[in-house]
Amino acid sequence: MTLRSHRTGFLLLLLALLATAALSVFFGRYPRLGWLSPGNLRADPLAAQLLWNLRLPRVTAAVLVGAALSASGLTLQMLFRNPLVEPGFLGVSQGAAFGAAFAILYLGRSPLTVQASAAVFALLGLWLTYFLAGHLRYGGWILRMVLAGIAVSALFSAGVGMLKYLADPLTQLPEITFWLLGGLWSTRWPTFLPILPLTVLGLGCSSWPAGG
Amino acid sequence: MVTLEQIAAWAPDQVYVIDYFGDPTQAAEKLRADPVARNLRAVQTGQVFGFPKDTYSWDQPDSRWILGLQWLASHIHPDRFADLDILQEFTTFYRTLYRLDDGAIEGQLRPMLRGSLP
Repeated sequence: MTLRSHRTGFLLLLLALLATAALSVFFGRYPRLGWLSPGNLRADPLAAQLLWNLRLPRVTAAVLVGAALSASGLTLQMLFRNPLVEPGFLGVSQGAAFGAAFAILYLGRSPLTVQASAAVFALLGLWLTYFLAGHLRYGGWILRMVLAGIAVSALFSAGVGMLKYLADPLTQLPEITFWLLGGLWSTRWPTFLPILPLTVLGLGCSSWPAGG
Repeated sequence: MVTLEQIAAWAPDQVYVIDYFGDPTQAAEKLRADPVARNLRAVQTGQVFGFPKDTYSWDQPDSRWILGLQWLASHIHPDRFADLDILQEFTTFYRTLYRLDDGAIEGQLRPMLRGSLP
């Protein structure tokens, strides 16, 4: 593709993102299923509150999370010169899941501990995959990374299964399940704010020109 | 999962807050203080209640529902249950159903009571 068609494609994608974001902000269940009109917003303080403090932080968080996920996928693909890899393939996602479940069971389940533990185990999963792929004597580098990633993912998935079995079914198990599913349903501005600097930092680092 | 937006669309006259692990009164207070929920009619008319609990919530499908139903009825129809003394019912309930003596009821169970109670 030429640079010009790249640029057109990018603009189209950006427009699609803005359109779906606007759609999500103005379409919902209040006051009835459908659009929220400007008249509604002026006359009804509850409608304005829902838009500003419920829908807008949720949609903005969704955009940031999506950007972070795609950037991490792209970074891994370029880093390992491998078009097949993504966090789910390299033991990163499963490592993070194991780290989060481990923190919920044994490290006091505060949000900060859970996220930190997930990040540490995600990196550990990535390192294990890389280490294992370096010691395989079969196939090319792409195939070795994918095979090693499958093995490490299976290992951590089994670990998550064991932690779930050990978890308290009334308190810890629902928390693990909610964490693994993820969701933005409770995102408000105070919960959105910590996401912003981390995502901006991550995106900034990954788009920094490598030089050469 | 019910979001605050869905609750706003339902526009309920009353809201009953259940909290199995924490204090339902505090959970109800948290809802009342929320900048979005503050605009709900039930919050503005003071019709947000914490569902009572002792060792476990009174909304559960166990024998406590005898207490929960009476408490709920007295909040939905305050005029018809004006003479209900829910704390007296609580004592009678544990005395007759579980044969607990007053020492156990007053000393152990009553301090565990949480929720919107007189």
